[in-house]
Amino acid sequence: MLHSKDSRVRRLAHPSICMMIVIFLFALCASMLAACTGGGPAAGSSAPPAEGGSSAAAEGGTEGGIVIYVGTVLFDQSLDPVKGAMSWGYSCISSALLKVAPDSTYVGDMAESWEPSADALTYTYTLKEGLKFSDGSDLTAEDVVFTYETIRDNQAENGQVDLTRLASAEAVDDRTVRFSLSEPYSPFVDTTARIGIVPSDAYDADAFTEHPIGSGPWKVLQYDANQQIILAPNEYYYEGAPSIPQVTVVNLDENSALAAAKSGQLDVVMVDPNYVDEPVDGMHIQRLETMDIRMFGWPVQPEGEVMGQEGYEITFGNAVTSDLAVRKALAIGLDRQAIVDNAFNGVGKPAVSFTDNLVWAAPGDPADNRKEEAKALLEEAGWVDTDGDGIREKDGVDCAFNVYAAENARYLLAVAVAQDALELGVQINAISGTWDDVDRFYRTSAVVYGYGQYDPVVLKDLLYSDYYLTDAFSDAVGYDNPQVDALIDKAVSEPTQEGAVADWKQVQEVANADYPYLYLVNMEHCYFIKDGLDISLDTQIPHPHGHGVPIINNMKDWTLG
Amino acid sequence: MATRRGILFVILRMLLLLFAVSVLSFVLVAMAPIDPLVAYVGPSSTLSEEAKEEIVEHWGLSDPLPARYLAWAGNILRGDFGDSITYQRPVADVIRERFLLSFVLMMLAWGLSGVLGFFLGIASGIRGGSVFDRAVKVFCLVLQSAPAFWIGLLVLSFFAVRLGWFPIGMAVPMGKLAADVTVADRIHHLVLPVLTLTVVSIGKITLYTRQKLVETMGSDFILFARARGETQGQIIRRHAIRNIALPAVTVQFASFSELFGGMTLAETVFAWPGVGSAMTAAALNGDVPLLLGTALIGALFVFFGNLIANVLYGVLDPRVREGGGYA
Repeated sequence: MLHSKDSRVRRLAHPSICMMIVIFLFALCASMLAACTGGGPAAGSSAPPAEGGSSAAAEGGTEGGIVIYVGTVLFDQSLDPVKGAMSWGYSCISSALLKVAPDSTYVGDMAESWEPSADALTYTYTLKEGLKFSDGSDLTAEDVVFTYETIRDNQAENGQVDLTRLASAEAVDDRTVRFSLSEPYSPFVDTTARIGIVPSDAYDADAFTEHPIGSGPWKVLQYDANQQIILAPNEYYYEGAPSIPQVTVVNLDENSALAAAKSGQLDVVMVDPNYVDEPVDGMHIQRLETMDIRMFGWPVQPEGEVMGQEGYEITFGNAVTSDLAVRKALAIGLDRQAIVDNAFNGVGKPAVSFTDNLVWAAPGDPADNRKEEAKALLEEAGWVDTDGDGIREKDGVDCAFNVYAAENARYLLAVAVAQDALELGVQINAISGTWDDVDRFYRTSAVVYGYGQYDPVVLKDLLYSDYYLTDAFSDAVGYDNPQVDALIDKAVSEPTQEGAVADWKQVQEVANADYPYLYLVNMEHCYFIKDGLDISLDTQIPHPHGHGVPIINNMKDWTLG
Repeated sequence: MATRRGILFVILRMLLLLFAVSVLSFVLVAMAPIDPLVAYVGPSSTLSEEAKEEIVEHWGLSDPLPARYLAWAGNILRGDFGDSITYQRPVADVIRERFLLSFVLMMLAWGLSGVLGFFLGIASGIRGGSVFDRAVKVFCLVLQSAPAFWIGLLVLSFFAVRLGWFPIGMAVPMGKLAADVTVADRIHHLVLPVLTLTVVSIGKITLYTRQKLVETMGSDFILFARARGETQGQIIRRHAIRNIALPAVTVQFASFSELFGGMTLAETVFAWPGVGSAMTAAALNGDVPLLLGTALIGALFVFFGNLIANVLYGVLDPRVREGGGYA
């Protein structure tokens, strides 16, 4: 009897050891959970010092505040302008010298006026009076000099704006800054719209990553890594503090954005164009104009090989897309409206060049879908369907090429283009790949690119022949036109903004005749907006390429009804 | 003495493992056709040649692979994990502020799936062949084959959107200042990620337990126990559980690696600010220092999971204990 009782105790001991471990683990987790809360900012949330008096918040938004989802880009980078934060031409936390106006021109933000010298080497900016940072300190020429010099000296930490041509920055007096460049560079004016000013006294490279001090309409109240950035109005902002008391920018998975909108917990939700017809209670869809263009880049060089700088062969060129007749036939023959309807649910506008939403754009002839004219062009060039498979051939080569697309929306576009191109007897194989695939094939195949920025120097990257085969994605198509190169050089060294704009337009007029790129669609960004929230459509600027973020460009003007 | 030698051996093994993992991940990242410069400045960058050169030099992108590895490994030995290119902060800081959140999430899901899976497996196994058993089996197989992020989205759209019971993501309430966040808030936000991860990892342990129980219940000593007049409950408590506990513990601890993978996906769906979402961001941005840092943490985590399993064998089974086997 005794023995059996003993063994029974031991038998029971086994499963209970399991249970004890489990209970122990739970206790461990629970205590850690408590520690997270008790210890304040221990769990990745950090609040700046001396920030109190917040109203208690209900789940799903603060009282009087709003919660917005504008993509994930803001969470994958530093908020420090010195490290390239928010360098898109509109300011939110850190204001720049200039900003973009709703008509895409530049107006003064921190600067009252600016003046380039006749040789485009010296730029003098005069600051507005009485400017202050969000910590109450004065913004003077000294701070501007500090910001620019710090970026130039740490250029490696800033992958967005380029100040390698800045020779010196000098504070002439409290309100005047003079920049001297090492070579004439007219897009410097664009650069000054992209660099938020940081205070020279308070700048701290570590702290500013999450809690920058700037002179913009908003300041960071709390930064929870990967979760949310809570913004509060900056009462020192020169135009007066914004009226919405608190904005919470949240981070969500792209795929759950629609679910988030339907949950009713958010006030602004960026969504894919394919969701524009989804009904969401209490919200309406808003399409916003952009200058974000989707286009094919296609090799204009015939096939070849060359020894690259790194000592291995680079294969380049494409037998089909190097034929101007093929490029032109597609550019005039495609039905862009049908393509937009098929790929993006009709959201977006057909585009044959960079759009009117840019001051330096040169609009082309919008008449496309000229199928007969395009077919005649192809036949004339010797592309004829001889074997009856619907695809044209020339000298035994099929009129076919690959196009790589590195994200889903771009792939849909490529498929829609391919479908329409079949009517012309051109076979386009749309291939979905990562940027790494694109990196391998962009010199021999077409690629769907997205471009949308205020700085016209992008045209140099797209068209300047010296760049070919030197640098990833610069002049990726191999365009080589001495006339265009000369015009680009002229534009870059133009002293006045007007002169530069005229040159950049001419660059495109000449280059577009060679169809080095196939412009397809001017995107529209789609957002669900809570009824009663006014996002001030009048002061929205055309959105640059920004994965959803640009809607916050005029957030200071938003009001709650 | 035997124990001390055992511990030394374990430490040596751990160091070897970390070395192997670091070399392997380094080579894999280097062989991946990511151009780190393009990852850093974006494909439509307008930076000048000089600016790009400075970036390449600063981050050591053009150095030969062995030199890069040695520099990195040397820094690691000094406790310096390097700077994350994505977040532009020290990797150690990024991981430190995220590790606890991932750990809580994983441990809760791991414990829950272990306990629930074990009992579900038993309940299913003793009714071997019944409708209930078959239903459980199908259920588990479906869960095993479904990707974690998809289950996450289903859970999200049902509980957070349709029913509105739980928040749609994140670890704290939206727009609430850190000082006002309560334990209840944190638990409220934990529920859905834990549920997802539990559901994702429950299939394996259930199926395993069930199979083992069916096998055990068919053996001669069970028949003998039945002949002695023991009831079903007694048989299970006295004989079956001791026989299936060991394999169950092995399976559950060995699933640490899958747990880590599932966590990475679940964290992305729920915007959970843990190590997994940092890992995703690092991979997408070609952020080598952060990717390697998280890989090392993951390797350590899995290593300790297996180590605990080994130690527990000794606790659960005297035969192993007497053999003195630790590793």
